[in-house]
Amino acid sequence: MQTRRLLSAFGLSLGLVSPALVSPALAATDLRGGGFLTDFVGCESAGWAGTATITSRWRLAGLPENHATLSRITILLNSGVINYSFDFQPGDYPELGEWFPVNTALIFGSAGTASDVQLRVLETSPIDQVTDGATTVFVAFELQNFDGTPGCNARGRVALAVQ
Amino acid sequence: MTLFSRTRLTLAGLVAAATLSLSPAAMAQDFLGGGTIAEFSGCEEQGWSNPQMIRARMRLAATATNGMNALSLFLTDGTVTLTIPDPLAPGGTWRRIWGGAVWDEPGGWDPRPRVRIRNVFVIGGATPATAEDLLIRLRVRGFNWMPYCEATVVLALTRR
Repeated sequence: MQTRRLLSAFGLSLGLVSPALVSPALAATDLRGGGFLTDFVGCESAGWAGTATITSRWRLAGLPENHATLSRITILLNSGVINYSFDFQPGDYPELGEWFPVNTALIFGSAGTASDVQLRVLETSPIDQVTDGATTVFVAFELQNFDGTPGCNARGRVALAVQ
Repeated sequence: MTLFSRTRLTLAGLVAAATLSLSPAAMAQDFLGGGTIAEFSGCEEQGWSNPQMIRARMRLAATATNGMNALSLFLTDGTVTLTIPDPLAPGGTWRRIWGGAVWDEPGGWDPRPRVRIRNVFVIGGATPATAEDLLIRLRVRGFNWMPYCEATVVLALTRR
């Protein structure tokens, strides 16, 4: 995969999607779907193991009605929800496979934040499919300290549709 | 506790353990994950339009399932099932499958839906049977009892 094509290509390509597909009522462009988190490592103290099915919403910067630079990823688990956010100027996106820090807010027993959480996107749908106007995409990613538990890492995949 | 009752309990435990180890569930190849049902077309009758966020489970075809891939799609207000004969592979033709749902009560879709499998990305293996992850994109025609309603099901799954 070419460099600098992480969320920029992902997002910009989707930005070419017909405005008719974007619900004005939402005043935002979301990618919505679900997938899983799995391969939990170092998460025993937090109780994560096996596979967790998730639903997920991605509000990427630069898409119609969205913030210009701030992106948000929400992961909804059975037991709670985690929201990751990150802010990059256009052109400054991390490369595929490159770790970057994310701000993390979560609600399990109570609302809170987590520090030292890092995310990297490993692959997205073949970019040519996205640029051909596909409205559904696959994303693979990894997380470090994913719920704020030091040393607790996991990987995941999602299938998302433009809303 | 008498010797007889202890023996009986022991035997019962052994039988239960053997039953568990032989149960189809234990031998089945299940994948878990989620995705979306999106790109609705011709579904206005029931009001389907926006992408649905779903969790999903798929049991791969095997002898125990008579060669059927059993897909369960869990929406917030009900469950859809799609039963797809092998092969689980992309193709350009519409194939007749079985569909059903549980909303207020369970029911099978009539007319039976058709499916066109657009993508099956196998990750960590050569075939779905050996895959670590599966990414699936398929188009369903005849969604939820509506003969002309089409929807795209897109799933990211991992081996249970």
